[in-house]
Amino acid sequence: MKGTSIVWKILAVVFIILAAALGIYGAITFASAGAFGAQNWIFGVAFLSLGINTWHIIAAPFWIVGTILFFMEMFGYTIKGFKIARYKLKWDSVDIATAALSAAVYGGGLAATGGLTIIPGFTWIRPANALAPLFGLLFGVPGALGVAVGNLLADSLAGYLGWGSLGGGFIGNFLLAYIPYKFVRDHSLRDARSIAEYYLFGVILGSVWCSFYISWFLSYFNTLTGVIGLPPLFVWGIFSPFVIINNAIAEIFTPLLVFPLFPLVKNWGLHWSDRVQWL
Amino acid sequence: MHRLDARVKLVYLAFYFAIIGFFTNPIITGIIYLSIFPAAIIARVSLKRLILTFYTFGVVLIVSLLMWPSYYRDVGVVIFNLPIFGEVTDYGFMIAVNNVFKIVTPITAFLVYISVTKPYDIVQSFIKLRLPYKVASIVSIALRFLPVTFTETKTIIEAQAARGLDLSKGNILVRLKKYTAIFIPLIVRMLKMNVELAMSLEARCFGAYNKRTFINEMKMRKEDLAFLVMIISAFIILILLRYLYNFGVL
Repeated sequence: MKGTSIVWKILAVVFIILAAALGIYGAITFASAGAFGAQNWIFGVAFLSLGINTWHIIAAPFWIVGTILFFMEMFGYTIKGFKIARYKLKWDSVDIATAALSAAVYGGGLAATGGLTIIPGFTWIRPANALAPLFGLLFGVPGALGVAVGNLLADSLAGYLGWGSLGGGFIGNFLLAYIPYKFVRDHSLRDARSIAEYYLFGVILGSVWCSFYISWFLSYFNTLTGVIGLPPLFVWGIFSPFVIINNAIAEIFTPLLVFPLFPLVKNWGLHWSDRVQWL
Repeated sequence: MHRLDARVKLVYLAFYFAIIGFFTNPIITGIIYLSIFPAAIIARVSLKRLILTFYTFGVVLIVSLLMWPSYYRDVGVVIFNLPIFGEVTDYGFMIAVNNVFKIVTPITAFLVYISVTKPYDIVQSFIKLRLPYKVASIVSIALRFLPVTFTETKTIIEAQAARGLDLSKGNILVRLKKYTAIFIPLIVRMLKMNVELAMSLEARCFGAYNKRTFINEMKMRKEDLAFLVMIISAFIILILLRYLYNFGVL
């Protein structure tokens, strides 16, 4: 038991370093490349070296599975231990209030703390991204739905709501909250294993999934219909790696929020585990 | 614009989201983009909001002009050379400008829509379009609380600044970490609001019935129908022109 605990502690440290390195190194190299040198950004160059079509193939399962998961959860089905399980969420006044306030806080937080616009209609530096996994871990599906709605509201408030927000950003942000909720076992993040799981799945996988979800939509949907207007070189060379880094860098600090807030949420009976009934 | 039925305004928004994808000629997409502005002026959309769209237009134009022409270096005549990015042909330039309109048209149309539609009407139009009313309620309550949380966030930032928190100092990591001092009180405030809101929803028998009613029910008037017919006709005519006569194609 003690040996297992040490392994998880080591893994936790490794994943924290990996997630932090991803966020910090990405941000530093992006900032040093500058807006007009972005095509030489090391992450972008690495992404583009695989080719646009390869990315369409790699990211497609993320989009398809992400969309299926979203609709499954909305209709009361979920994945539990590699099986599809049915659960009941009442969607009563508490769940509605939770989802609505998560949306308002996430949307309001994004609008109030979002400073630098990187690509209008598509992204900007977002410290409030740290709230997405927090709402997923604390409130489950209502929290994740709140994050999705909140992102739409933030985009509309900032005057940037376009195809990207509807087709990619909505479910993409849902996944940002949903993945830590689904993959982390102890949502209080009070042991090494849950910390390791959070940084591996919540930060790294969550950021990558969210980014691939939105990017695939922007790139492939544009290839099919021509309505988006963004060049695929830009989507995969700048936007996609930037979203990964932007999400990762903010989410590194989420455990600092979860740790003090978890007991409060649990005591008030708002934690998702107190509201879900397994069928 | 303000008095139009919210469902018709939603169709107006959908029109711009959909139609812009069918054309590749920037003159046509430019005209479609400009056609939003009379509505924006009639609707008295604030100048600040319109300026925001011009800013968006400018940034997207730069990104588009830098990147799209690289796809079309072999098509058309070279018109100028960009340092680092290389040659720009007339065809590449037209495609780049066309794609700018594709990006900014839905954004601007949405600005007009949100400026002329009350949140109450948006929610009612969603319900009338058969979206479950609980989902519509989430959007409606979130819209109601959005200014509250925005103000709360600003107040907390100011309160923490008064205690010595400086969000503008330090590297990006230090600055991001400082935001935890903003987010924790914000979430605590949110939890309190959550309990109060749930109680008040419960007191109003929220969820007791499957159908939601409204004091002011939406009804289509002649003017709404006329505008709806106009939008649908414009859509059909443009599509027919596009596919029968290759109108708006480079």
